[in-house]
Amino acid sequence: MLQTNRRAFLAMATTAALLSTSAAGTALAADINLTLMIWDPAQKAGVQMAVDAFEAAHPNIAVSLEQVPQDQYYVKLDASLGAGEGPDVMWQSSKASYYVDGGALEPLDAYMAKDGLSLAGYKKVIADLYSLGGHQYGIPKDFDAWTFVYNASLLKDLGIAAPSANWTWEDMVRIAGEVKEKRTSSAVVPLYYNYSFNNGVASLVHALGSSVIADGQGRMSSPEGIQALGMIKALQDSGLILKVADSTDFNPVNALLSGKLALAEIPSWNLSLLSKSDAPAGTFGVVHLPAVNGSWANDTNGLSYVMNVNSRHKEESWELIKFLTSDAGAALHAQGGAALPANTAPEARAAFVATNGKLAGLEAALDAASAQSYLRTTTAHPKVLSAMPQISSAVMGEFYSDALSASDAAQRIDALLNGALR
Amino acid sequence: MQAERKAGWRLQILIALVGLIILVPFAWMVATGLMTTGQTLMVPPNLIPSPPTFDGISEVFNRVPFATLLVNTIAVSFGRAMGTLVICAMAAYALAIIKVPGTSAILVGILVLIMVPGDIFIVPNFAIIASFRMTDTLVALFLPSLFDVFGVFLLYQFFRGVPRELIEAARLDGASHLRILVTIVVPVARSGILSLAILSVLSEWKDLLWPLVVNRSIDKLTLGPGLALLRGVYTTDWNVVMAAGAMAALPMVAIFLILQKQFITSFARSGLK
Repeated sequence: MLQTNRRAFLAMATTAALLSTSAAGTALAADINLTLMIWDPAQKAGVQMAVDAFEAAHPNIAVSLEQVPQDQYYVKLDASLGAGEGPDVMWQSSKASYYVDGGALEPLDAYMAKDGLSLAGYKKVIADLYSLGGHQYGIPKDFDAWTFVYNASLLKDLGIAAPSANWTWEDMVRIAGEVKEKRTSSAVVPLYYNYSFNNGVASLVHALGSSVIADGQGRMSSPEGIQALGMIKALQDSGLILKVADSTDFNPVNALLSGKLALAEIPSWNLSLLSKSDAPAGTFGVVHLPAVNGSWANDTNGLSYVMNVNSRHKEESWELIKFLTSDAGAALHAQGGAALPANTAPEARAAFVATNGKLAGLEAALDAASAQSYLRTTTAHPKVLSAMPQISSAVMGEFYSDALSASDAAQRIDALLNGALR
Repeated sequence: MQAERKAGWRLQILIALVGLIILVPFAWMVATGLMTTGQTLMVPPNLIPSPPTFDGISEVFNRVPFATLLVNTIAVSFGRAMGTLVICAMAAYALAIIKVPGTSAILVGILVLIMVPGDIFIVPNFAIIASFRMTDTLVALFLPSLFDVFGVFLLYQFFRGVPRELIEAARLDGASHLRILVTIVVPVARSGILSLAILSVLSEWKDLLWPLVVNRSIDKLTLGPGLALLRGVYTTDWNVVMAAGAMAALPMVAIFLILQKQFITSFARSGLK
């Protein structure tokens, strides 16, 4: 009897085990695992919030959010996409064209047509960046806008009036000069102005009414180009910004947070680092870039979500892209602390402003910056990307160290740009 | 006598200075690891944490699975050292003792490969590992490194120094090549073996790019890439990174202190440093 019972028990246990294994197998087969690859740890929380909401809406799809340091991001992509692997969905920048040429990205036109997704709800200039060869490869995630952040507490302590919403270049020089005069320690830096060629100098050229490249030729030798170089050099020579040679490791966000910097040009993707700090509300104020001849032109660019052509779950990957870039997805990104949403829905913009609510004047500054943005030189003309390291080291370095005049520097820059554009 | 004493003092001061230059960055790393984020942002920087805090250390454990990364690193380093020793010892034996046909050409090939930067093999290595369906595994972290041309060359140099008479006597006694390798060559050339083991472990311990490329899950990474994930693109909590760096270095420091004598002997004999 006992033996029979034991046999029956064993048979039942075996059957139960087989059934449970089979059930587990079925459940496993129904689950789909997607990989999403990004590079910025500061934006990971925002992306994760959107991913969590996506998983809640799609219980059969799990998304593994993988953050790879930016320095290794494209190496990993090159290796994995080249081997027919890689993430299902990933961030792409203005380098997307190289991956499209290599056949690594999935065109999204058919998916968009099927779901009736229109790009009208996104910043057009960013959406157009990912339209290559007549196909749309990326749905915009964010866009860049440059603002000026001032440390209101520091200025107040020094008895200096904060910048007004319609301030000018002359105001900026005056305020920075006052900080330099009244500061209690030489460790306090009056101003950080982006001195790089591709951002700071080029934006000033645009504000002065010209452009870096026109008709397929470098135009830095124009009076506006030479003037722009001279204006930033004058900031350095008058001690309002740190000497460029000493600025390599200077981090304006960290300096603002430590109370050792009064005014700084800060891109939109770094604003959440300030608003998420322990500094009390009202410590920092935001205005648009100082007006030059009535313009505060600033460069823009933007990332997008793209799909791996080798993804084994293309429909699900599309669902993920669609959600992450939707009104709700963009708002969740913004709430977690990410870059300015390229989705133009009011709720996405409102989420970004609300999340960064500790920064006084943010909304007006962003509106002003967006109104006068132009496509970054290297984004509008990807060919000149290869010339940028040489311009930075061989030309701008010598220019800022007085080894080169503004006109000579402008000529050399034009020569390098023209060489790259050929 | 006085001149000798003077020279001795000078030498000691020089040694102290060099020691200081080596130790100061490490001390700064530990000090920064014991600061708050706010303290790390001070201008001019503070060298001593005031007051010291373990916030950075606890934050490391919040942000990355440090224990998993450490266990992975130990396992992978051990696997790589063992595998490298076996493969390199057999290859070096074939070249130095058996002198297989084409030894000179093979050695030239090895020297050429030593001079090629390892990073250029990342894409083909990934393709091979992907074809084995072994991406995102611990084995993938060290498998391509097992075939270490530098290790072969290093052991080849050591094996050449093994007295020929010992090998010939063993052959006359009917010993197989494997037996000669294990019982005669390896014990005689143990300095080289230990040197290669140390270099393999160190190399794996601090490897960054390959683990990041081949593996996806954080629980399949080692300390190097795990720590790299703590670095921000635009701002970094340096107290967290430095606390993690100090903790990652501690096991190697402990191993060095325990095996100090063997390390120095081994490197002195191998001519490496």
